[in-house]
Formats: sequence, structure tokens, C-alpha cells
Amino acid sequence: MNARITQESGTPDSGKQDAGQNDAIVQFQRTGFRYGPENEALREINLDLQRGGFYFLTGPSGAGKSTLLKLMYLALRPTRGKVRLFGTDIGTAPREALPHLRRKIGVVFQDFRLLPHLTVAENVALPFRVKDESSENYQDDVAELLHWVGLGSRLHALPNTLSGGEQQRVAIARAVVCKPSLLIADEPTGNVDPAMGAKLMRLFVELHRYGTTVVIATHDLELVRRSGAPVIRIEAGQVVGEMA
Amino acid sequence: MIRVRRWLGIGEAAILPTDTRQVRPLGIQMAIMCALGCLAALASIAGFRAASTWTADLKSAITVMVEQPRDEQALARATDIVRAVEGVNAAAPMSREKAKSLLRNYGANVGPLIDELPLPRLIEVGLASTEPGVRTRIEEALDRGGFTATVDDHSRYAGEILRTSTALRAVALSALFFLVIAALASIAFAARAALQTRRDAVEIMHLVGAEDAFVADEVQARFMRLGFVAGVVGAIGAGVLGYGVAWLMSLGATDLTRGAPLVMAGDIWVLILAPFVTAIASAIAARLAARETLKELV
Repeated sequence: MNARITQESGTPDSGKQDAGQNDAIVQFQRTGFRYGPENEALREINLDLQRGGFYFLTGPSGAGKSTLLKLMYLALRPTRGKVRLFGTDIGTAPREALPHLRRKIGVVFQDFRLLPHLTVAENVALPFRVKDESSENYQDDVAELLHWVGLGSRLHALPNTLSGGEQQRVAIARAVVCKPSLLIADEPTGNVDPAMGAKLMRLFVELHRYGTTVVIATHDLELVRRSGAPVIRIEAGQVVGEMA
Repeated sequence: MIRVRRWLGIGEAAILPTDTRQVRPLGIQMAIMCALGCLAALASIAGFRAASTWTADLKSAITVMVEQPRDEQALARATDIVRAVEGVNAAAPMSREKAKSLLRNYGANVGPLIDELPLPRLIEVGLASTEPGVRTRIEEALDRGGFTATVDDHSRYAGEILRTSTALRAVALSALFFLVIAALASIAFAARAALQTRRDAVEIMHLVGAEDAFVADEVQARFMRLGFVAGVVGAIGAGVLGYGVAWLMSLGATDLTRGAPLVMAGDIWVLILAPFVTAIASAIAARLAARETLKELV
């Protein structure tokens, strides 16, 4: 199935796949991925995500959502077809090119993936540190963002002293602190109470308003319904439906 | 500047966590290897010094054995002839007692019979320089004076000492070389293991945009610090052992060994240099291993 979900129109624009003419930030072109010879996680994915769009990715467990996200945040390369990210074919891009692409992407992992020996502030500052930025340039931003997500008093706490919800907020802060062009979140509101979930969604919407493309994988259909954003549904490794 | 601070581990916490269970045994192993390496280097220097001292002593002297005529007057005349040769600094007939003691040194356990032996009449000659032509000039002068004599410039012994010392130096330097290779292999293995066991942290670093060089910097910094500390401990150990043994040997030293001691105060540069060399070698080995391993990770 070919799909091009156009944020402006809010409708899936099936069949119109022209990489040269659209403004896609992510393009899947007949993309497949296998974990070994038997396990085909994705097959024949054709999908364009437009720059500045806001998308939900839904589907049952094991449908291939995580694999699709991993291809987007460059944890995997496709075993078949193409994935273009910011116009770069990640299947053939040299290893040295990947860090610069990754710096444009913020990722919120379902299992948070915080570094346990670093403090909350150090975890959030990680994207700046790997770019060799001086701490004077970012420590205020980090503190401000952590205040915003309600962790202003826990800057120097270690992650294992935080609740699941607090860890999730740290993970979100780390993902958005560099104001990424593409934000990918895997169940970002799964471990927080409804009020904090709503607040985090407002953060995503705010980032989207400033031009960040947002992709959120979720099982929370109520959240999807309330947002009114386009939805990509994936089942058995294939995109089976898009709703705008 | 930030990169240098990261290499030296100054400022912010290391992103890659340190596994002390792995680091401690490796540190001990590296300290021992460093100590052995220092001792091998000191042994090589001591061997070279001993060979140089002994060969210089031998080359600065010549022994003349007067075969005919053998009486005291003739020996005095031969000594005068030798003393007058260009390049000779001093010449003196060797006393019978000294000649006897030389024979004893060579294992001639002949007891009272030694007085009955026809001892060679020897002239000890000190040279102003090690110029090779002196020997020929002495031979020619004695020949002109009607003497049958053998001139020994000790080149056979000097050559033997040089060959032996070269062989010992080669053994010591080979031991040093193998120790360095073994240490580097251990570090490379440990760096690889560190990345494999903490691949979760490496993956996070990569996914937030870290280049392989950044991750390699983290690994390199850790092993450079470990190498420096191990180098300091190893150098201190080698110093205590080397200078301790040298002191013990000095208690019963003869002229032969006093002139060429096992370790001298001036050799301390080996021990001062060791931690820096260990740190740099550790950093390079860890970096190369890390860069290679990172290609296999996300």
C-alpha cells in the first residue's frame, strides 16, 4: 500500500509518491526488514511523513511499530527497499553520516533508556555533550526544561531514585532538549498520570507548532481521538490504514 | 579544549560507566607488566653500561709478553723502547707477584709449583688513545731492538664482551617488546569487553548523535588514566626492586662490578618516563580497539 499523509489537507493521499517533488522528512519506499531468515518484521512499506507533520502510529503488539520507529531513528537499516531521512538514503549512507542525522532526531524510548550512573540533569544534557558543547551553553536550558516537566527539584537525583513516570519525563526532556526536527516517541504517556500525560502532549504540540515533525507510537486510542492528528495503522509488518 | 578535558577525565562524569570488577585486575596486571618492563629496560641499560666500561678498560691498555731475552735488564730495556712509541701513555714491567696472581685467576691451581713455572715477562702498557696503529708500532720497535715479543691488544676479550652484552641486551629488549605487546593486547581486549558489556550506554550515546570518535574518546580516557596509575605503581615497584638489588650488590662489589653497577641514580629517567609511556600506549591500544568494536555496534 502506498501512503502519503498530507498534514495540510489532513487526508491520506494514496498513490502520489514522488520523492523528488514532495516535502517528506521520512520516506519509506518498498521497505522491508528481517530479523534473520524467518522473521520478517516489515514488508513493502511505502510511506511519506511530511515535514512539520504530527502522526500517530498504532497497531497491535508485534505488528512492527517498533521496527518502523527503529528505522526512523537509525537504530536499524532496511534489509530491503529504501528509507530516506532528511533526503538521505540510510541504507547506503556511510556510518560517519549517521551521527549528524541522529542529532536532528529526538527519541523517547518506551523503556526510557536513561544512563543509571548519570544524574537527571546529566542524562538530559547528553545530546549537548556528545556535540562537545560547553556546559555553560546548555545548563540553563536543561534546568528550565526539567522545571517545566516538574523535575526542577530532582536535577541531581539518579534515575533509579525516580518513579517510572518521572523517568519517562526525563527521557522526554532528553529527547526534546535540542529542539529536534523529528521527534519519535514510543508510548510516551504510558507511565504517567492523565494530567501529566496531557501536559506532555501539550509539549509535543508546542514543538510541532515550532516546526518539529512528531511521530508517536501509542496504544492509547483515546489520546489519538482527542488529538485529531493523522494515524498510521500497522499490522503484521504492513501499513493497513491511514486516517487523517 | 573540551576534548582534552574529556581525555584527562576532568569535569563532568564519564558517560560510559566504569566496571571496577573489570578494571582492578587489569590495573594490577598492567602495573606488574610495567614493573617487568622497567626492569627489562634497566637490565638492558646496565648490560650496555657494563660492556662499555669493560671494553673501554680493555682497549685502553696493551700487554706485551717478552719471550726472548728474558732477563731483568732486557725487560727494562724493552719497557723503555715501548714507552718511547708514539701513542703510548705509560709502560711498566709487570711484577712476578702480579703475573702469578693472574695465573691463579685463570685457574692455575698449581700451589707451590708456581714458583718453578717459567712465568712470562710482561709489560703493562697504557695507551693515550685507542688508535689501532699503536700495536703495530710497538711490534716494529721491539723487533728493531732485537726482541721476540707478542703484543696483545685484548681485542679478543673486548669482542667477546661486546658479543655477550649485545646478546643480553637483545634478550632484555625482546622481553620488553613481548611485555609491551602482551600489555597492549590485554588493554585492547579489555576495551572491547568494556564496550560489549556496556553496549546499552554506547547505543544511547550513538542515538543521541555521538560520533564513534566521541565514544572512542571516552574509552581512551578511561584506559589512559588506568595506564598512568598502573605505570606509576609499576615504576615504583621496579625502582624499589632495581635500586634495592643494586644496593645489595654494592655491599660485596669488586673493582669489576663497582665500575659497572646494575642500576645507577641516572637511570631514574626510565622510571619517570614509564607512567607516561604506559598511559599513551594504553590510550592508543584502547582507541584502536574501540574504533574497531564500534563498527559492529549501532
